[in-house]
Amino acid sequence: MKQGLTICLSKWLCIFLLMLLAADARAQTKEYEIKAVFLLNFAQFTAWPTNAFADDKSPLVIGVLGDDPFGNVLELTVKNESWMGRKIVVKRFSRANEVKNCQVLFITQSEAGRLSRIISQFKDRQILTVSDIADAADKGVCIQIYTRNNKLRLKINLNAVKNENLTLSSKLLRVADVMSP
Amino acid sequence: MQYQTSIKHKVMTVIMLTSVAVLLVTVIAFAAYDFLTFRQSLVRNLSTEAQMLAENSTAALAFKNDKDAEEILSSLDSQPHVVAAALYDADGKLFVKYPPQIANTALPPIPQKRGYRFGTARLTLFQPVMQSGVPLGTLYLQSDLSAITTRLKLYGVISLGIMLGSLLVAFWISNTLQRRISNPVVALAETARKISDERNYSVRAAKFSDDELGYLTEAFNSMLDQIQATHSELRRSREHVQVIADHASVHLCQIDRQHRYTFVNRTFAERYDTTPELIVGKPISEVTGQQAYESFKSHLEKAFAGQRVEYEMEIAYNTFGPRWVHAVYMPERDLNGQIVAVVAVINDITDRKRIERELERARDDAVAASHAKDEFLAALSHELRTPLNPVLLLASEGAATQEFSPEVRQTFNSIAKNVSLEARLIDDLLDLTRITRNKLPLEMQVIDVHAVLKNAIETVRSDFDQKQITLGLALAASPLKICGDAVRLQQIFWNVLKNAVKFTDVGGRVSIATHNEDHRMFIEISDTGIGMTAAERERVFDAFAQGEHAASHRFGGLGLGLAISQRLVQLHSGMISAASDGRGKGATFTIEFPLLDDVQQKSCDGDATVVSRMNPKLVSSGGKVLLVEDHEPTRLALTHLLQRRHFEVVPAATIAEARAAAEKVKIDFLISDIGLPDGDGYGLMAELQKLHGLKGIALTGYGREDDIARSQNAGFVTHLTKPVHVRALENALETLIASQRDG
Repeated sequence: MKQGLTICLSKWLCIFLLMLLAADARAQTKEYEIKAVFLLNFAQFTAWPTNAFADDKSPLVIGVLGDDPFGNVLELTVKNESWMGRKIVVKRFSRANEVKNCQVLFITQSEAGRLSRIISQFKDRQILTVSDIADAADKGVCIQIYTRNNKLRLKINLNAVKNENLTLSSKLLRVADVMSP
Repeated sequence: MQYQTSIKHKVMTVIMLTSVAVLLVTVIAFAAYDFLTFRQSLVRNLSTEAQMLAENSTAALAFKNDKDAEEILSSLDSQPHVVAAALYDADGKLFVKYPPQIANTALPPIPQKRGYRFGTARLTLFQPVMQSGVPLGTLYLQSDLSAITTRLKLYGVISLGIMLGSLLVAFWISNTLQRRISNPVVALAETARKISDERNYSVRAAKFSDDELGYLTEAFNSMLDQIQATHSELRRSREHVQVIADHASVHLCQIDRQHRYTFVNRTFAERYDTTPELIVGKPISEVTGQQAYESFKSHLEKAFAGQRVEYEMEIAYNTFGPRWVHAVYMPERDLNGQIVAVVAVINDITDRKRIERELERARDDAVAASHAKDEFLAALSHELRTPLNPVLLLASEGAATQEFSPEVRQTFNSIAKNVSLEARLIDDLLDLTRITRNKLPLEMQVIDVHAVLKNAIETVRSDFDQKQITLGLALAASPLKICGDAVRLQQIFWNVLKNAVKFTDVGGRVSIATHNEDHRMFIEISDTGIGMTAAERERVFDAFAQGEHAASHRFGGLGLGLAISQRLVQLHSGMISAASDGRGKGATFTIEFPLLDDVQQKSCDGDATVVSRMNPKLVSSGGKVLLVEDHEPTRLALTHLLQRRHFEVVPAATIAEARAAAEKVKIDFLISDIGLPDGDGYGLMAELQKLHGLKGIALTGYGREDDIARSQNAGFVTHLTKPVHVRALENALETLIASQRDG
């Protein structure tokens, strides 16, 4: 707990520094800081089949596809974090076919135009797809992050999740809008 | 009745109190146990709730969904005891609170360590919210303890109910059970009360059971049996005593320490013309009068001090005047020995006293009369004997004068004998009066009885010869020393022998025999005389008694000899008895004396030698004698007698003449009459003894014992009673010369 608190503090310290460097990007940065935490938290509520990882030592990979809005925030967020005994690493992909050995994939705004095509590529790849692109869930992304009343909310496409052969915790479903088939 | 409530209540109280105490302990123990387990279960319930909420709120915290979190916490609406709740995020910031309207200040500002705490009236709990081991925040729950309070209240009500119920049951049971204990006790108490109130000892307590109480009842009843028996025995004996007391002739009363009558008998009450009931309870002074009470009060106090008091006193009663009483006071003690009363036995002896006084007066009169008689006898004997002296002396001299013819001498002899007999009669009379008044002096010494007996025989030998009586002697006794007066012993034997001769006819026989037996010496004198009838034998030792023949005066005498002899024998611790086979069959007199043993011999004065008869030396010794005698014939006869015995006689008729004569010539010794015209012989004797160292012989017609004592005090060596026998005079002279030689 204490350790967790230290981590949090250091995290917030970094964020604070960044905020000093890019004052006008502060609002956006803050939004993505939360989204980075969300990405990390999604892993906690998701069960992957065993073949989703190359071996026991393989880390949990959080991938970012498209233009990176996080900067180094995501790295700072996952630093020193682990998931089920696995390290957590962040990987960046510019193209969909580059994506390999990735468990959580955030699809950025830059990929809005090609989203449907991208999604079709990831079918049955055991990748939890997440995006803040509007109508992402409708287009087949597993979890869409959107803003309502100035708060971030989740929308889940259970069909997409099923297609990816993943299982989500009912608790996650509880805090999200669920699109049932 | 008060015993009943008391014992019943006590037994019931004991049972009820025990029940209440047991119940209280049980209820408190159960309540404490329940309180603790209930608290535990409260904590457990709250923890379970917290875990469930924490589990549910992970996603809400993870994805900052406050709405969802609020929704989750609102599920606490179904838990009325949870009054506040809150969720803190991973940074410790308050995320959501419950109920929504609660103030932030009512909640802890930052989350605390996991766990629960009991505060006053509330239970707080912190539960971390984790997902897959990753801490996401903290849940806070606060529950009020109204559940416990409610629970305890409920418990209290139930306990109270149980206790009330139990007490009712206990009351019913104890009320039933106590009867088994209290009923016998109450019955006993009731019996005891009846007995003490009504004094009815015939009541018995009923027995209820065979336990200790039953035994107690039995013991109580058996004690009652004894009390009843004792009580009736006591009543009987009291009635008995009452009857005795009421019919006793003495006055009986019982007096308490306050000097009040507590009991008087009927006789006592009748003395005061009242009944016992009216006297009992009154103080003594009120009944007898103050003066009477004061007179015997000190005796009463002595009795209360523990003495038995007996007195005779004349008491002045205010009701019936002065009375003589004889009273005995006896202290009466209680069981502790304290004197609680005095019992008095009172006799009115006024009549007895009067009779006693009359008797006393009569006795005094009699004593005076007797004294007068003695005086008269003494005077009479003196007056009777004084004229006999010269007659006896002259007759004796005449009989002994060789110049006279035998016929004349025989006549003188006869005169002398008869005068002598008359003198002896007078002497007997005097002796008898002395012995009767127990005033006969005895000169006790060790004596050879045979010697005295032989002397006595010699004095009566002429009588034997005259009546031609044969004398048989069988003196077998040995030893024969007794303690006695020789003169008186000889008188005894002489009397008995004289008696034997007197009643034995001419030619008869008198036997004298002695023997010892058991430290006693027996002298038997038997005769063949006229004997005695049984009636005569009984009275033989009475004074003035002779046989039926006395009236005829055939034998003469006054009948004093044997009476005097018997008294003299008794004075020697001996016995004399008379035996006869009847009239004409002779008589036997037996005299016995205790023999002396060696020890007694020392206590008896003198020695065993009996003074022998005439000392021949005296005849030729002579000396100058001052003879003082106012009776001229006697003086002349004595002068003649003394001169014949070679004494030189200086005669004097008065004290003055005697004094003058003693001045003129040297006198060897004095023979003096006591009663003289110008004084008495005592004074003369004392005077001459003082002046010339003279010794003397007293001559007197007063043969009484005090005369003799007085003459000895005056300095006379011996005392001769008139008429003077020649032999007695010779003895006196011999004693006098012997004492002069010694002194």
